[in-house]
Amino acid sequence: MSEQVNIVASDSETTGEDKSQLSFPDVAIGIDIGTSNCSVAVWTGHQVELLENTRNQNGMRSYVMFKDDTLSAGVTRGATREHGHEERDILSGSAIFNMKRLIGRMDTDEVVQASKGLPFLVQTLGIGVRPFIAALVNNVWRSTTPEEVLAIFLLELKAFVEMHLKHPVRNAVLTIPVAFSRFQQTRIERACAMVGLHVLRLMPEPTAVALLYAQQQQQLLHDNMGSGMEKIALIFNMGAGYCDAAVADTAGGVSQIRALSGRTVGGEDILQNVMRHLLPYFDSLYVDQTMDRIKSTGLLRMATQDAIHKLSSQQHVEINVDLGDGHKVSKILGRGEFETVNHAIFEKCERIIKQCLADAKLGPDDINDVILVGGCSRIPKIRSVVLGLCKKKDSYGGMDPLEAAVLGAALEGAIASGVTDPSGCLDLLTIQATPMNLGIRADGGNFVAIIPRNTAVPARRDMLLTTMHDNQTEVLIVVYEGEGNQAEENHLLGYFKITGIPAAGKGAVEINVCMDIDAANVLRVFAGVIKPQGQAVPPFVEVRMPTMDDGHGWCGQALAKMYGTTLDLAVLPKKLHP
Amino acid sequence: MSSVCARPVGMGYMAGGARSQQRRRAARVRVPAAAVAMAPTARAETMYELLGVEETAEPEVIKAAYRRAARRWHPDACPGGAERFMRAREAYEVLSDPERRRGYDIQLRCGAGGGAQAARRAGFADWEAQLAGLQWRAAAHGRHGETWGSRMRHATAQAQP
Repeated sequence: MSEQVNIVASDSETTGEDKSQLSFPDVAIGIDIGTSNCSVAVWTGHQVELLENTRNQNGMRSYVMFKDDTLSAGVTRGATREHGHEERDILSGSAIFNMKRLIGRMDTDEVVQASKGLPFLVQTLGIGVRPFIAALVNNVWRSTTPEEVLAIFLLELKAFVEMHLKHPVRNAVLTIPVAFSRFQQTRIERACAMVGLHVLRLMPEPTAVALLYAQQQQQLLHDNMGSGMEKIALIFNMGAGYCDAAVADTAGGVSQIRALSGRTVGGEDILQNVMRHLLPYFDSLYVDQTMDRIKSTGLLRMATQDAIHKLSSQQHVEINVDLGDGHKVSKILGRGEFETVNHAIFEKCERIIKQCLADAKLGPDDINDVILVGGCSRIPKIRSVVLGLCKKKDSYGGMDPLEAAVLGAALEGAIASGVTDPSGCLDLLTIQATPMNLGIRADGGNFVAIIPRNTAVPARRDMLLTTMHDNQTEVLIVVYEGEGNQAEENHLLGYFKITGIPAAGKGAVEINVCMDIDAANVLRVFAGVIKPQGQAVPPFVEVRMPTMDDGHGWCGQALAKMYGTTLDLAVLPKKLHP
Repeated sequence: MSSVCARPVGMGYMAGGARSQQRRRAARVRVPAAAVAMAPTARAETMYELLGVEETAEPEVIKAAYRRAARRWHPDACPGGAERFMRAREAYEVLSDPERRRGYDIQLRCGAGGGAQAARRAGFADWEAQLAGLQWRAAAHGRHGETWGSRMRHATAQAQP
């Protein structure tokens, strides 16, 4: 991956050279693109610095506004205050937001289906292809794609960072949700490539927080305040789009991720629940995405958002909003009612933490610190759920919940760029873990994990398989990631055939399938015949995953239709070697 | 890249020059696919030697040694150290689990220090090593939280000749 950097470097070397650039060439910036907010930070030589935009905001809204021929993103919010975008403009249908929820998903995905209530157009055909999204420009829906929207946003962000740092930026570390599939990760990488950003690492959000925690613990040790003992932290992160948890143990600047778990559930779901609660017949009010509907959805959305924020500090909130056409909402919403409405979401959060603790094989008493980050960590019920499960009175107080992830990403950016700091500030390391099982389809339609979840990265594991039929000369390797027992329940990553297998009875040949994840989290699958050996056996095949492009919803079914079980594999019982 | 590789990692290392040479070699190694399958057996070093600890080492010592190895060989700290890191990680996973460590110790005693190769030896020692292997596998199964379904699949797969 590092070779690519040099190629990119050669064509943009014309800008003036800065002293700071000479001493820290190509330090990767840290970017946290949230579903609703975005922030960026960079290592400045002795610390990480969070960058502020011209409006003195360091948390910027994640959206792109489409207007006539101009596009502008939430980084500058339309640059000046006179032309600045207000929340009402963002909800007018002309802006696309929530791209992190939409990117890399098929139109059959329930998250995409739930996004149909947003002010811009999300059209689905339900056939497993990329959804059609469009922004309203001069009363016409103008089409775009989630990757394109993200790229436009990143372009503005990159220009802003370069203006601030006064030198070109080429490398970045981005944070991603734990629940992101590898296919979604490639979409993020593609959007970055469109704007000339090379992705050095994609870091699950809680692991970025774990790195910041490791640095703080090291700092305490330097100041002779810490004990230097191993500390175990549970990190819970819940933003607008995703919720994730991690258990990390930290000692001597090494932060090791013991377990990761996450789901697509967040503030957006809470918001939609409350909106539906306030106006249950809303969906039947308007048949289609008309201007009336966009306007009243926008008004209701703003009022609801405001109410949810207020409920974090008060017990009751009064909502009074006129949606036009004689529809009105006036209601006093209590905290208890809010919690009942979102009961299912809090339960999901509970399951995420329970699974994370179980995977780490730890009980609540083993946890030293509970770190709560992300916008939704302000909700009292979320706090009490997390702290209750960990049997703690209070959470770790050393970090800003909205900045922790991006600061961690910037630290990782400096470390992965090879920067050293004389004061030992960067003598840190995160040992990542795989968030999902990685495996293949075998033994009929089963999913057989080759790299189980929470394996330390870099990792390499292999498995012996054999043919299902007599004289079978080809096998199909179909690679999946996920938690389901049936292959079809998981995310399809790619497939390839091994051909030219010597004819033999079923179960006689041995096929080795090896999965390798390198430090940059690139997954490669090697496969080939290892028994019988000899000249007649074809060479191994190495495939970088995922191989899928858009429209991958079709592939699983198409493969099943075309080949049935004729190219199937079976797992060989393991030979005795530890 | 080599300048990155040579960056200091703080703390004392296990040994001096010989190992840093090894490190340079590790940086160049690109394991071909066929060798991947054989990798675990082609090792002469025991897991204790790999981590630089005594065979009687306490769990905390093993953990600290693993951390040291991680800081040294993890590809973030040393590009090209991935091979070495994965071996240290494997050693740590075995030695930090009392069950698996006991199994490994039995193998070490009956095999001539060959680690994973012990299981291939003939005679009585082989039987013992197989037993150790079984114990190890039983422990390994528990560790990865297998489902009832996957256990049944294993059972049926083993029942078929």
